[in-house]
Amino acid sequence: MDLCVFGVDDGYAEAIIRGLRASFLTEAQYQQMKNCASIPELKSFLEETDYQNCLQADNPQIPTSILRQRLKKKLADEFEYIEAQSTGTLTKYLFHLRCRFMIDNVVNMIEGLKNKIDIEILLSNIDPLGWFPEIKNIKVLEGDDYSSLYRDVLIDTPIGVYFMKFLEESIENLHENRTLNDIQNLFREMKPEYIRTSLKKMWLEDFYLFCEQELMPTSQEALLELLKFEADFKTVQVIYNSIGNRDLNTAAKIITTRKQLCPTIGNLYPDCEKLYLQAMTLDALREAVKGCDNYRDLLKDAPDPLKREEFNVQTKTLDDIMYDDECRRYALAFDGQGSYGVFYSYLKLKEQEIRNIIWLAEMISRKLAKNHPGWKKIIIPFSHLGK
Amino acid sequence: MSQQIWGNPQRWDAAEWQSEATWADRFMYIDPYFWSYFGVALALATSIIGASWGIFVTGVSLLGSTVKAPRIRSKNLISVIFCEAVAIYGVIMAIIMIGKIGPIEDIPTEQNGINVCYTYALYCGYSLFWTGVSVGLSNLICGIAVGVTGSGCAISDAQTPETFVKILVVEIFGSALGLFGVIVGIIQCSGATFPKVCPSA
Repeated sequence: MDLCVFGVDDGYAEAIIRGLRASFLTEAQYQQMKNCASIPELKSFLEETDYQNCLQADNPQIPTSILRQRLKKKLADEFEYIEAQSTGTLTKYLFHLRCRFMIDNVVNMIEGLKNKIDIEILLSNIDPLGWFPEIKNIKVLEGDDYSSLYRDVLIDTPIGVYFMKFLEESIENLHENRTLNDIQNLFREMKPEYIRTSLKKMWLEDFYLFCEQELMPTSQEALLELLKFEADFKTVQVIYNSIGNRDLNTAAKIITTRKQLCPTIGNLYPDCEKLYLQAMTLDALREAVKGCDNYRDLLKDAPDPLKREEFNVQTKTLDDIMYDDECRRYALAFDGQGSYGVFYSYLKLKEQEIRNIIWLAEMISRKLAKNHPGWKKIIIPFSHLGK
Repeated sequence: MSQQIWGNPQRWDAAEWQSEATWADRFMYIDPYFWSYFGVALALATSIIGASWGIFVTGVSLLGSTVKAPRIRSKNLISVIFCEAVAIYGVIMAIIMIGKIGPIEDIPTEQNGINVCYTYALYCGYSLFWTGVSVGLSNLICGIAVGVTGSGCAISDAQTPETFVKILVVEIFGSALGLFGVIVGIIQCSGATFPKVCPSA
């Protein structure tokens, strides 16, 4: 029944996304981009595609970072338009999608502040999709008082709730006679990747809960599957990256770290939890996930993490394999009428396209030979559907 | 009660009606004109609910996908026309049905005659009511079906131009449902004209 009433509130937004589908670059266009000899050529090529307006004001020899900012700004503007045209549940949903980018921005800013980078530079490098008004308030007070930064400033941001949960979890893991100094040291020394992964895990679980409770069945059909898959990917990545990691030397430390970073939604949890938490080699990981068909096939070709030093440009890393599969799923989810999955897929696939363009721009600016394997490392959205 | 045209004024009086009439009696004596006009309203109103539902669902998708793909503008108005056709079916049926309703001029006075007259009028009333239901409900669902398919047509046309004609075929099959309702409705109410003069026993 929700197909009949979907059009009332959300039909316009969905239809705009369908129109925007035509703005994705095709395989033929990627070929032409690969044949560009220099950055100005690439820029003039991009101006003939849907990206025309956002690059007009810059000079032809545009640096890659500025190129990325412009492309992301275009995506952010489109997304803002769609968010402005939406009502009710859809607005909440789209805002939730953007929280992931806000997490990235805040973690980057805090890292930059720790390394004493100027705040103006940090603000100009934030991802425009994750912009929120309170981001200007993030600065460190005297004495390197990070805990007050966390307590006072971050709690007002839309992602404050994730930070609070993260702090509670980290403080729990400290030993009992903890002092204020210990807490300060904890924040100062915590690796940004660790913070980022934890926060994103919490965001994913929260988003899953939101989708389960507030969306219609047609949307849930597409979205819950996608989110479960994403959670499983994160789990496998965490385990994979922690195998042979030199920082995690005790078994107990490995297990607590993994437990903190692996999402509690998805097909692998809780059935395979015990197995994968203790997996110390790639084969053990393969054993742990063998219950789920897809993952077994994916991990079959993955390179061994213990031989990490032997990776070169030609190896297809686990990330590559997973991105490939994810893009296939998003392209499939794009084709459902009356479902919110189309917004999620659009965001992810457009991000992938921007990543592709920036990768090609880098390859072109380094003037690498055409038979360099790096040219094949792009994943073209919708290529699996034969379009 | 004696002012009622129908029923037998000598058979019931006010007190007796209160105490002895059963539910079946009360149902029997609901005026046939009530049934017939209700049928007309149902046929018209529910068809229009279905058609307008279809139009708003299609219109929203059409508007949104035209923003980025203006070429689909004119072609996809066909979906809106299909939905509109459903409303027209409702109007046609309502006009046909109204033409069959009219006052009975000459009601006989003896009981037999009244009973015959009342039976005939009740036949017409029920016929028109259920015609209204069958036409109205089938057009309601038809309108929704054509509307949702039309919205799918607009958005898939914006995405992939080759799919337009194929989805139009689905819409044509959908609008045939409303036509079924009209055909059956016309047959249903074909003999049901209220008589000008009561037929003799």
